[in-house]
Amino acid sequence: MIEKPGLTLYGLFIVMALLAAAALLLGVAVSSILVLLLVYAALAYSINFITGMIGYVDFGHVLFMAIGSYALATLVSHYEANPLLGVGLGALLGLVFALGIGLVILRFRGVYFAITTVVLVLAAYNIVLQFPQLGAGGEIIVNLTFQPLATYFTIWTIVLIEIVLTYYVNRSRIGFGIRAIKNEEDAASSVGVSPRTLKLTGYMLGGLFGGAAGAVYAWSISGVTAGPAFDFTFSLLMLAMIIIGGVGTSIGPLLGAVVVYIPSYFLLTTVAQAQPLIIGLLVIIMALFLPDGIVGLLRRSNEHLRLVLE
Amino acid sequence: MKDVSFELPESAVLGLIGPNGSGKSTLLNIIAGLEKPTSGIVKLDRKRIDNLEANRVVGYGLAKTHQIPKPFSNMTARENVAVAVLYGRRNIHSPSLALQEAERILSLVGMRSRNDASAGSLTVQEKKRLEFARALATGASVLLLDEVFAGLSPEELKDSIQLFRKLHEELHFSALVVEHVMRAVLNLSHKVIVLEEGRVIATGSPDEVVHNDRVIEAYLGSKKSAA
Repeated sequence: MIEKPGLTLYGLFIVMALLAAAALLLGVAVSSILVLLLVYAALAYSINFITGMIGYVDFGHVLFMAIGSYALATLVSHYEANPLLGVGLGALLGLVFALGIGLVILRFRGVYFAITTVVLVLAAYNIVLQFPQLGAGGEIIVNLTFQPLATYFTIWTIVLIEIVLTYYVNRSRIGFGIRAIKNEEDAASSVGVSPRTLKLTGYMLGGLFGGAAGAVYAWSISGVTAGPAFDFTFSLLMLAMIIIGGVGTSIGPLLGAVVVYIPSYFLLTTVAQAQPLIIGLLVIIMALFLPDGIVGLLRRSNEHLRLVLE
Repeated sequence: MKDVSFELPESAVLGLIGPNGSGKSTLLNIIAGLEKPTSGIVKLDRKRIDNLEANRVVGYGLAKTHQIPKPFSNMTARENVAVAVLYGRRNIHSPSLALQEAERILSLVGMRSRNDASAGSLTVQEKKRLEFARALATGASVLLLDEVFAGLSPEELKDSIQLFRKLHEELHFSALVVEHVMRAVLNLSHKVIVLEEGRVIATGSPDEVVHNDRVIEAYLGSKKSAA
């Protein structure tokens, strides 16, 4: 049974409509700037399914992004496939890997889970370097004609799907089960919730959308290189986005993506090294004073917003 | 645990008592699927449940409360109970219906006024009642109650005993009650089992059990060693 959507979803639809209009009306310049913002948002929503909803801190989420990047780069450069197929393959591989990995590592909890995700990324990085098919030094260049609008609207669509899915998962039976697990995993199973199934569901959604976003990222920067593809900074940025925006919520990942993206865009051209510092400080401040992020702040500031913001 | 064997008839209340470390909680955990027995079987309505995971056991109609309450702290009391409604064996899959049902159950246990309170902010007594409400909300026919009466003031205890009586009369669940508070067990149970060091040392009506020499010895030490 689908219930009447609330104002949060309509608000998000308006923002997405504005983003679409901006690209259509203002053209290539704007869409190539905003495409990275949408990639950030897609990644934030993808990690939100894992860390935001279930509460398992995933330092290794960049792994799914890399899987998607390599899927698209390989398919497009070796088989001259349509990049959209590459995005599809990236999503599929993200899902499959999340299933396989999740079955094993979701048995660990808390800090043990977090450490395992770190180790996974290190292992994957070294595995990729062993495969000449994935390019010397894990580098594949994608030769495509510049198609900013196609890239833009692919990632736009992915973000839109993520928003709707996040919104309805949170309101559904599954959302109740997932929140229960996040609070008290053992108590959840003692009222019939299956932590194993629900955790795996969240992890697979994270893998699916992480893979899709990674594929679009490789498309937008015309290739993939092992070093940056497995860069921890990306995992940390994704975590920063949902912590700043508001973990688990429908609106938080987008807010967080904007907050993290804006300084990173402007600082990249001036002082690139200052970006992690600024975002790191911001996360520490948020964790200390606003553990439920911007969404939490807004909810507390206004009784009406408390009921509306999801 | 050794040679522990008993039956819980339909809508009966069975008390399980014994000194600290006698195995009461272990026994409850085994029945609820939280611990696996090395040998022996647990059956519910003739179906074996000892090889099931804890969350699956709930689907067979058995629910356990936690000795130390484990509320879903970031959810309201009503949402806590709604989780149990949605994932128990009630076949209610719509959150809005589950929330309505949760309200009804919370008013059954006398917590209507706390519907929208964050579960983390409840008092100990309220948290215990929330545990009880969640167990009921799963639609369980068998409740395993692990010290739901402990840590209450005499006044609260009286209320809780009365409430339990009333609910049992209305809902006819069976219950296995582990309890240190003698007043509660003896008051509510139809039959009492006494455990010591993993073995059953006495079984009978509350009255019989409190006058049993073995039981007195287990609790107070033998006359010989006292002398």
